[in-house]
Amino acid sequence: MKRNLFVPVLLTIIIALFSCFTVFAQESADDHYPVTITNFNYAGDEITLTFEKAPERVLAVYQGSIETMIALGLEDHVIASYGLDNKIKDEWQAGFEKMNYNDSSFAPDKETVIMMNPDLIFSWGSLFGEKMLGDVDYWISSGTNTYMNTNTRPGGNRLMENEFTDILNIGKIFNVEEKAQALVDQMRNDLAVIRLAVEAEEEKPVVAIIRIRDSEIRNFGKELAGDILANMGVEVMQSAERYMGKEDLINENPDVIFIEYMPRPDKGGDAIREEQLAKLLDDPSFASLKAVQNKRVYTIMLGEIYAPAVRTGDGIRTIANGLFPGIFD
Amino acid sequence: MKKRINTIVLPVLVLVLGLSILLAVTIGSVQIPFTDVYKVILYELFGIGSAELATGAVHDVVWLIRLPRLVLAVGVGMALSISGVVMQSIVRNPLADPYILGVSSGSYLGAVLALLLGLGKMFGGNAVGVMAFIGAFIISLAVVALSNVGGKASAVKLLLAGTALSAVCSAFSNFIVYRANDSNRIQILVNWTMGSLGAAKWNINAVVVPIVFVCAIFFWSQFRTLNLMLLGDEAAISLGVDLYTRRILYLLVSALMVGLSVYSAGMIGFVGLIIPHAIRMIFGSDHRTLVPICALTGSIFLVWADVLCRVIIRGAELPIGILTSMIGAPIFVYLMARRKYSFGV
Repeated sequence: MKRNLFVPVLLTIIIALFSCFTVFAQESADDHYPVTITNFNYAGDEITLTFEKAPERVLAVYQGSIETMIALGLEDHVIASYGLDNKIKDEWQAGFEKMNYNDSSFAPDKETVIMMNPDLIFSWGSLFGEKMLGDVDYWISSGTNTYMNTNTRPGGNRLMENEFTDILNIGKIFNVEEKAQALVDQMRNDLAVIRLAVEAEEEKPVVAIIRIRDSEIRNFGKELAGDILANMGVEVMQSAERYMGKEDLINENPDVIFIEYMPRPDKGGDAIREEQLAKLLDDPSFASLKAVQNKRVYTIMLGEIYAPAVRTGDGIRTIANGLFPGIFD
Repeated sequence: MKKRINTIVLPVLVLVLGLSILLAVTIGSVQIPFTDVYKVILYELFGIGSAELATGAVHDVVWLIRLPRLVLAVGVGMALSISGVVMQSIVRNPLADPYILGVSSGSYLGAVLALLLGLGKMFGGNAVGVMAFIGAFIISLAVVALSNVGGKASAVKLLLAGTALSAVCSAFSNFIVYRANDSNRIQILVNWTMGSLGAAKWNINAVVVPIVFVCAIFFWSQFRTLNLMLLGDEAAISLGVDLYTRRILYLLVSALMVGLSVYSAGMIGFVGLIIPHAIRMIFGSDHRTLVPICALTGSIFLVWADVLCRVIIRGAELPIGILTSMIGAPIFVYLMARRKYSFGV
């Protein structure tokens, strides 16, 4: 009898001890840090960043940086934020109010940033110039970490996976990895749903994401937008260049067209969307296009396909709802 | 001899231009059989053939995309090369081109104001083009006004005024561009400076091409004065002609032509420089022959330049200003290196 009790008791003790230990490990930040992250300098070369603790004085510049901080619940770590192109989504409004947003300029200059004494500058690659926020190498050497959206670094391919990596990296830096993982998982799930729907189609649709300008057509197919489409399994409209002529578009004749637009709230908002759409629909020379005749023309915000950060999922859903209307309603 | 040049060369050039357009309209990224192309054109022009020809991709490509571009190419090529001839006479300098007296920076400022500050919204869709036209014309007026301060405008004073006002426009344009944080629009601006015939539409052509044509005839009728301008003011006065008012009139008519070409096609470099140079080398400097030959050669040049732009990169289009400069600049270097050519009569 005694012997029979010994094993279960021992096991219980071991399990109890082990769970105590894991709970302790999760609660302690000491084990999480130092964190090492790979990011880029202003020249676009890889650099290694080390974080001894979660940054407390973050400067967030540009839409994606601001929204990533809010979406991960990190508003309290931000001392200043700048540079919105689009309105903050309703679900992030409460967090945004704690972001110390400054609209006096699009981005602060180096001098202003020095006076802020930030411990992390989170922005786009193009903003780390000497005339803007200041060079990455300078900031690193003076003890301030920087993080640039990977898809905005000079050089390199613009990939959807980079947006996911950025979200996960920020999660790691601030020790909120589960939240970050949940965000990315949601986007991957949506992508899997749409991929299945595409695979069920007999013929893969040819999809174009473009903007019609007066004398040229801007094609987003070779950029992040094209990579998102490729990840969905559809065929991306072929064009070697960023710019094509009207006749080139008629030649490719895509099945579905997304018109990119930028709804600057201060410059007309939704009216801009209608205006961009009209450039395709109201031009008689495009009347023969399959997408126009079959009414398969939709719109997508630039903010959802160009370094979108936490809006990558919105981009995926906007495209999905165009390809299979109502799939995510 | 001079008369014979006009009676032989001009009809030949008109024929070449006509054939060029007919051939160029069959070339593009969409493969369309010759006969289909001409069926559409015959139907649209003379109503020959079935009404089915009025719709569909072939119709749209031929009649709404290719042909308007080619007609615009004729107008813009004519405007820029004649304007080059006239500017070179006005300032008595072989390096002058249509944009020399501040027109390029004036129209650039107009485009900057429209694109980055949203001015000219009341002009609707082509606000950039309209503002560029206004910029080009205002700076031409300002150059005339400034060069008349403290005595009548001379060729040298016109050049100085043009340079000074160019600098003013560039400075303000740069200030606005630097302050703007809209990289998308800055990219549009950069592309605009490279020129393109891609925005051609029949309703734009209906305004631009006839005016250019009338201006061209006007300058052809002025060949005697243009010849005199090369001799200089003193020689002209001794012959009983005061060049002062003519110079201003020519400048403004030329600004109108260049303004219209900037309005419809952005900046297209080197046409106005290289065509007059090449034609002078072959046919001499008499404006009686120089003006019409330049007009036709400029048109032919731009028609083929546009074709090249459309086919040189598969599935995409090259801005025509890049192409004309890439062809024009080496030719210019070649002409200089030959040293056989001198300016004037």
